[in-house]
Amino acid sequence: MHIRHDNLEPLYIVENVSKTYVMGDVDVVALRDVSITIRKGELIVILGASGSGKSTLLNILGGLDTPTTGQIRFRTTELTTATERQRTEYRRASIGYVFQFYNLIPSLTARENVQLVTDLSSTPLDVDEALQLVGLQERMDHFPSQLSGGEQQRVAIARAIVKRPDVLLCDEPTGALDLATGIVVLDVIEQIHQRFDTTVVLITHNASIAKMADRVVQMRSGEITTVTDVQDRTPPKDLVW
Amino acid sequence: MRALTRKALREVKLLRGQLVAIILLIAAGSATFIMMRSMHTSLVESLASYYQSQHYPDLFVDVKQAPNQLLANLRATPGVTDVRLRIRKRISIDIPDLDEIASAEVLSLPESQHDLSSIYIVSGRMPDKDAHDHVVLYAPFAEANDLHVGDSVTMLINGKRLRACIAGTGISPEFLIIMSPGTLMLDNKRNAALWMHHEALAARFDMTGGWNSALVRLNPKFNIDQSRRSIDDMIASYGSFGASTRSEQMSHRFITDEIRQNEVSALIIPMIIYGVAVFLLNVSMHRLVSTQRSVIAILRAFGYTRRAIVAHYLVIALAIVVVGTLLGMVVGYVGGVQLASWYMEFYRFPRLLFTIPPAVWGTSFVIAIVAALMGAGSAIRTVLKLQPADAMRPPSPKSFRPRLITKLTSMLSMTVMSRLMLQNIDRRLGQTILVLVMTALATSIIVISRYMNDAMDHMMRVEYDRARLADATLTFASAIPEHEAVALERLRGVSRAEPYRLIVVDVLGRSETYRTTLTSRSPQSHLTHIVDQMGQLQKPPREGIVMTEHLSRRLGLRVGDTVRMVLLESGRDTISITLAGTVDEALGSQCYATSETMADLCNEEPVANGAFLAIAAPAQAYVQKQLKERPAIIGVLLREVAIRSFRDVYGANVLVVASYLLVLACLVATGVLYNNARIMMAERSVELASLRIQGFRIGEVARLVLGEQGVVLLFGIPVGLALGALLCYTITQQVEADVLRLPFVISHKTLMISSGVIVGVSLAVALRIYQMIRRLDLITVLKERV
Repeated sequence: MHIRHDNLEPLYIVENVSKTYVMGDVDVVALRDVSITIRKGELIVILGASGSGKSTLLNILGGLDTPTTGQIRFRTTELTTATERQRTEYRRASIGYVFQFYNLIPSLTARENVQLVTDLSSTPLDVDEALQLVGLQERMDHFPSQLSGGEQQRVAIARAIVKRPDVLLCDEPTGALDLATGIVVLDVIEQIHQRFDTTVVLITHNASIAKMADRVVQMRSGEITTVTDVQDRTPPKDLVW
Repeated sequence: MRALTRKALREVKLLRGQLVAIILLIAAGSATFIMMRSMHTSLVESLASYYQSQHYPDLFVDVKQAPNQLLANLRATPGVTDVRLRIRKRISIDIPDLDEIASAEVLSLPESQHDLSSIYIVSGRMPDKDAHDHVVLYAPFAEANDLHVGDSVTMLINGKRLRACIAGTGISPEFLIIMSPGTLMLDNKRNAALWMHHEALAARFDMTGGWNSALVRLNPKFNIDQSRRSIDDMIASYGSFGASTRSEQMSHRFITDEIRQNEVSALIIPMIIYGVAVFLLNVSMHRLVSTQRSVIAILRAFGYTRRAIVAHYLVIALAIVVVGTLLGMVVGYVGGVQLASWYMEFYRFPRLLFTIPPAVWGTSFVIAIVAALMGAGSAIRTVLKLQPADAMRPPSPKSFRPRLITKLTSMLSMTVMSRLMLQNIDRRLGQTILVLVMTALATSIIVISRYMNDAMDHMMRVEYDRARLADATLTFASAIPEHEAVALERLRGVSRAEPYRLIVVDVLGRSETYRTTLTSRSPQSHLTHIVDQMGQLQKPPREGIVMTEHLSRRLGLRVGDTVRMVLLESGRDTISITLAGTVDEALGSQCYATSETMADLCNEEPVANGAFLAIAAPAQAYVQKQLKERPAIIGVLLREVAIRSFRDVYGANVLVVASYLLVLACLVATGVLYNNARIMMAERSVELASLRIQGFRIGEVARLVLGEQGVVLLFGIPVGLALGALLCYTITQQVEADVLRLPFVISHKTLMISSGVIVGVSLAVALRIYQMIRRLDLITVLKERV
């Protein structure tokens, strides 16, 4: 089923954003004049090779970094000029992060890892429910070292969504996983997206994953080369790479 | 330069911020070692050379008066190689600028520099042969009273005033230090020695053809006790006080006690500091090796041998300790020169040159190398174990097995953040315990630094608020009937005069004889009391004597025992008396009895050698002036002056030592807490950054990290206070000497300050951690693997 998102409320408005890193004597341009509007409830996949600028864009969307020039707005919040404290509050209230390498806390069980984040929200999901959503109800009391990579990533997703964020930012969520496990993880992301109408921005270099998106943003050398609406989204379980 | 060496040096340079604490601790250890060890050597050598150059005698013989004819007999005593006869009398000096009279010993001038106990001339010269009214004045006294060669001093000898011209100022090994009689107070303004021609003295004291002090040099191969006994027998009939050895001389006893304590401190204090430094070095080297796993792999893959890589990391460890040691050497030298000048304020040597013997330089380098080996040892073992392929891979994720703390906390209801904090302690329990121990150690060092002040304060309160209440303590030239001393009450401004009797006695213990004083104390006294260390008053017994507890223990005497003592003033009569009680005093080792008991013992009417006076405050100056006019009074010790000089002399020195220890403690605490924080941050940066990305605020993440530090403080400070108290108690036992026993008193203020300083240091570290968390690179973490 394809849903048109054109009429939906814009969540992010990115206008002419550039990012230049000064590395020693060299200026490295990571983003060049990027503009895009991300609407509420969209699942966007940003595709690009290493060095294309996709991670930089994700970082700016997540409030981890600020653009050198240009503007970025989340709803009515101006992220471009936000202070460190304001950006923390923004992440706290609105963003769920899923990392390539999970970044779970080894000394906490799956349940505790998720529980840790519930303190950040006034209306969090039930921890057990969050873990059930990702299919880990049987493994809740296991420590990360006792879980497989896919299971760890699902705990990480449960951790990201338990505070009911507006946006789920996923940084190569399947990058460290094999095909079968990767598909399970993408399926969980898709379900979350559907169930909670969470906006998902997922970056990857794997073109196959793009088929599950509403829109695909292709990047190269810090620029957005194409933005494509996907007419027939493929369910994650049918993806192959 | 080889590439690996260049890498090592560059890494040391890069890590310098982190290594500052270790370098400073190594520097503190080596500076303390060099300073104290060299000072010890300097003191020993300076003392030996001073004793040798001025022919310091082995035996000191005191009699009331004996004829010069005895010289031949003394010389003929087996073991005796040299004898000098002289006159030695206690007199007073009138210094116009001084309200009270100064107390002095006047001695026969040695005839040449080859005489026993010759004088080291500091300024001017020895008086000419026939200049009978010329003297050599004790240099520290001259300096304190601004007296110079050519000035005159007024002596009060046998009731007569004698103006003498200062031909020179000098010092003697007999007077390395002069304390106010009956106190532990260094007061060069009011205590002097001076030397004048023997004949002039003999004429003044009606002792022509006689002497009352003999100095004896012995053949070192002879048994000193045997020679001493022969001499004692020979002089018994001349009102002998007996021959005494060097160790019974106050000046010698003080300096040798100092040297002994110095030797112990020179070993213990640097070892503690080195220990902490080695611990920190070890932790830092581990950190370095673990972050350089891939570098090690690459080097191994290139074909560098294990030995070359081990040597590389050893070079880094060595560079750290060598920089620290070199810095310590500079500080040690500067500090040593300061210390020497500080010693010169107390002990007057002709010169106290601070030199660092080659052996000390060498030893400090050996210690540095050993410290480097110990510090880097286990880290290097890790390098040896690493296979090139293993090292290429990142370390495998740590599996977590819940241990005791985690199991216990899982039963309690607490927030996940609190649980996480406790689990992290659990995970690094060994390291946390070490940090806790080091923090406790730093706390204990501050307790010790403050303890000296507490002990001195307490002693002052006990001594001057409870025991010595007299405004002035007088010493008479010779014993006078008690009623004459009481008559001092008639002086305008004197509200009360209490006479006292003091005689020198040899107390015969179970295995040794101890020379001390027996002083009268009246049960009705208002001006002086027998008081123990805790300030409890003890009445003098109706019969028998009371003895300082330390002395009774030393001599193996118990309350109820019959004590035998030789009364040295009255023809060496040996008497027996009951030990009626002991008193745990802080100062001195002496005996007390009522004046009636003492009169019975001496078989005489009650007499007094001195008196305690209560003086109305407005009349102080007037009374002092009156006392100056009385030749029978050869010493006046004012309570107010005593308190002031005590505070001036000891206060300043205690402050120096306390400041040094405080700096050291802060260095240890900062080094340990800061390094621990750095390492914790390095180990957990990914975890902390990922929390920040999830939306945790800086403060929340900081609390998680600082919670561990809080636990360290929560346990470390009380343990440190207890350890400090234990160490202070050990010091009281160690320092327990015949002259001074420090009371075991630790004030609330000390506990508060010690805790406060450590909390302050940890707040500074906390601030640094906060900054580090604020600067965490969140973006890099996205690509990191846990």
